[in-house]
Amino acid sequence: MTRTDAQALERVSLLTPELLVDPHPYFAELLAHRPVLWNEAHRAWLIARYDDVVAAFRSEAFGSDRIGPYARLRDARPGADLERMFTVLGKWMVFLSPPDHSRLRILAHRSFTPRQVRILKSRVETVAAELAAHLRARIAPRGSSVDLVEGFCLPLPGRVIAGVFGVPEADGEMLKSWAEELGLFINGSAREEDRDRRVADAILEFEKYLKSLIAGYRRRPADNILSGLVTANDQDDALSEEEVVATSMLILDAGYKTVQNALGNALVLLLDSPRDYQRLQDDSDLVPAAVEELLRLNGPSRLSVRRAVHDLELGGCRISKDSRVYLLQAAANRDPRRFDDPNELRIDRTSNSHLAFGMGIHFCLGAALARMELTSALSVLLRQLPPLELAEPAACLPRHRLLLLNGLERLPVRIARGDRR
Amino acid sequence: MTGERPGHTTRGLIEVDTEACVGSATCVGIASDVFSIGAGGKAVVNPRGHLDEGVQDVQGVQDAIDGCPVTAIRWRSADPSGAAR
Repeated sequence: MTRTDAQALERVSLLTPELLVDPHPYFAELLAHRPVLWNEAHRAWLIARYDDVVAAFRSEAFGSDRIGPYARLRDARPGADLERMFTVLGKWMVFLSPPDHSRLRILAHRSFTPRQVRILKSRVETVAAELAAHLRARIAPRGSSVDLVEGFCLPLPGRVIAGVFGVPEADGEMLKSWAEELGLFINGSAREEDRDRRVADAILEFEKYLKSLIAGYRRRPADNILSGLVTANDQDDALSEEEVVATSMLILDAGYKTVQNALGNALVLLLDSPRDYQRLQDDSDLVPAAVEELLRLNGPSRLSVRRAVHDLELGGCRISKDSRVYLLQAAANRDPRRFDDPNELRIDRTSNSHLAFGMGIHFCLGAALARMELTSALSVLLRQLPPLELAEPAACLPRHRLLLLNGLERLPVRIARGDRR
Repeated sequence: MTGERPGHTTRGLIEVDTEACVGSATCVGIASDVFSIGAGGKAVVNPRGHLDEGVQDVQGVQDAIDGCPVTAIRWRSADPSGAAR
């Protein structure tokens, strides 16, 4: 690689339209030549290789507080009035370190154990079947196309998490719009003028809403996650009301967004590979392994943000204290040192230890729920609908313009041509 | 530590699937006497944490087994409470 090439790599933004569609040629360059790279466009270190990303996920030298440093930066500016936003976000466990992180995580984990998840399976299947039946009716006339994001991927996790969490299903639209606004900050949209103001406003409204639900469950406890958190707050003083609010926002935000995008990302790969699509339609026992492979190749989490707690060295580069570091899960999941034929979709791949859910103490709290939702929802959809095909080429589909969250805005499909069933 | 399967570590009555373990430390948060995160970033059973050396946090171990997000911990014996007595 020439010096000019290396310099070009440093200036690439992951938010350019081409890279949002397919960042993998760029990631392949990093994996091969610059596994630890200072990227000037993002003013962050990019870490690409599997072993380095795993080591960073596990190391206390890579802290996960994104809020404190940003709040200090913003507060230094005149007219900044975002204190409440930073206070609430600063209590999200994803941004905390032990011991606060461990305390919140242990309190929240009980709702997401594999046993709890098994109880929810029939609920997911029921919702998926209803949505699939509706799609089937809309897609039946020849030539009709339907949007799987709007008709399946988006409503499914919303309806599942609402019931489990203890928010009325009718409030789904409102929660969705708050989650969208929050996502501008949490998932890293380009920093437009009014971004932080919009996020701060959404957080204030969201907080008010949650506090009224909390008051309700305090009077009449129920069997759901929010009521459980309220009880933990009241009985053992194990977490503050502010922590109940912050943890609720985090669970709802993650519950809506991640599965929605994971489903769309999985479906677009399958629709682009009719042979695999057919194999899964014929044999649903293959779905769990296929879900892992689809998460590896096209998971919703493109990267995780960390900050160097002290000066350190990685891959021959000196990373100084407080530097921003991006752990590129999407790159590590295609590291040829770890995965054979890393760019190939092999739905029966074994030993698939991908990093779609992260690793270490911040490993996705809802991973078991997400795995079950994806497996059950895909199985139901494949069983209930005739073979489908993309109504537009995959490369033309609009993507979210977000740094952390990889996903589709729309996924239009129609009944595959030549199908006589 | 006898009869280990590849990719698993066992101590006393507890087996950890080290390939599946993601180091979330949920087990450590639930039963810190029994589990810790080892140098490899994976859960290990503490030297004195296993049940045939007198530590009898059977419920803690059961909660850790139930709480593990990737189901990487299990009993080696079908009757842990009986064996621990």
